[in-house]
Amino acid sequence: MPQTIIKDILTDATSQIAVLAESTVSKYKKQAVTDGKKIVTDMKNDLTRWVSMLEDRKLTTVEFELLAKSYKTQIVMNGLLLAGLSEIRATEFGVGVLNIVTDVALKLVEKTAGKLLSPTV
Amino acid sequence: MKKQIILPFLWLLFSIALLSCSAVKYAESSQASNKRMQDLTIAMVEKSSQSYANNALQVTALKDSFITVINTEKARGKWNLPTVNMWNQMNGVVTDFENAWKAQNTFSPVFIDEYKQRVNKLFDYIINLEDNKIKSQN
Repeated sequence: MPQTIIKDILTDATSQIAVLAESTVSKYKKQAVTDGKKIVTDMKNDLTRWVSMLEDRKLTTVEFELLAKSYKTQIVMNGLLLAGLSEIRATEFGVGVLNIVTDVALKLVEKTAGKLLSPTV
Repeated sequence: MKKQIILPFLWLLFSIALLSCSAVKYAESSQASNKRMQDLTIAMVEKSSQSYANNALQVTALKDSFITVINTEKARGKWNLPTVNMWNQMNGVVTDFENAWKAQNTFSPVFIDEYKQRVNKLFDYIINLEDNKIKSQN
């Protein structure tokens, strides 16, 4: 079950990443989509585990969101470590990708598992 | 011909000299502080299986320590801005965590285990950044 939903999350998120790339960094769309897919791939293992925990109600929505948000911070930290002007745009795009992944995951889990433990703060 | 070789060489020397004057040097005290703050933040996450109300004072003390560290890092000069920004990010992480803790009152053991790994990962960026600063040769 988690594998099916993860596949759906990744497919849905990837198509939305392409739309985000088109609207924010259209000049570098191809590279941005590649970068976005890499972000999703990098967090795939954690995401699979967290989605499974969310479905089993071992995690609440709030807890899931905190974990996902830590990846956004990681992208910003990584940008700061590389510290170039071009990194700022890449960082903003990366945070957008994480927003997509979190939203898609929560919507699909909610659709599959029904109402979650607690509302979003 | 000689001029063609000497000029780029002088320019390289000048650039290296400029870089060594402006770059932030590694500070043992900062690195010790980074690791201490990492331990304190992990300790706070571990406490979150208990109610927020019972730990509010410790959380406030930790947040005060974050402000102290941010001010200390700011005082190291403008070239230290990436470190300052990383600390601001971590301060945001702690604030988000505190708000969620207040709202939810306690966190699940499963979440605590997962979140500790994430916090450690984020602190590693600050520690690595400090580690990569210029170390004086003794």
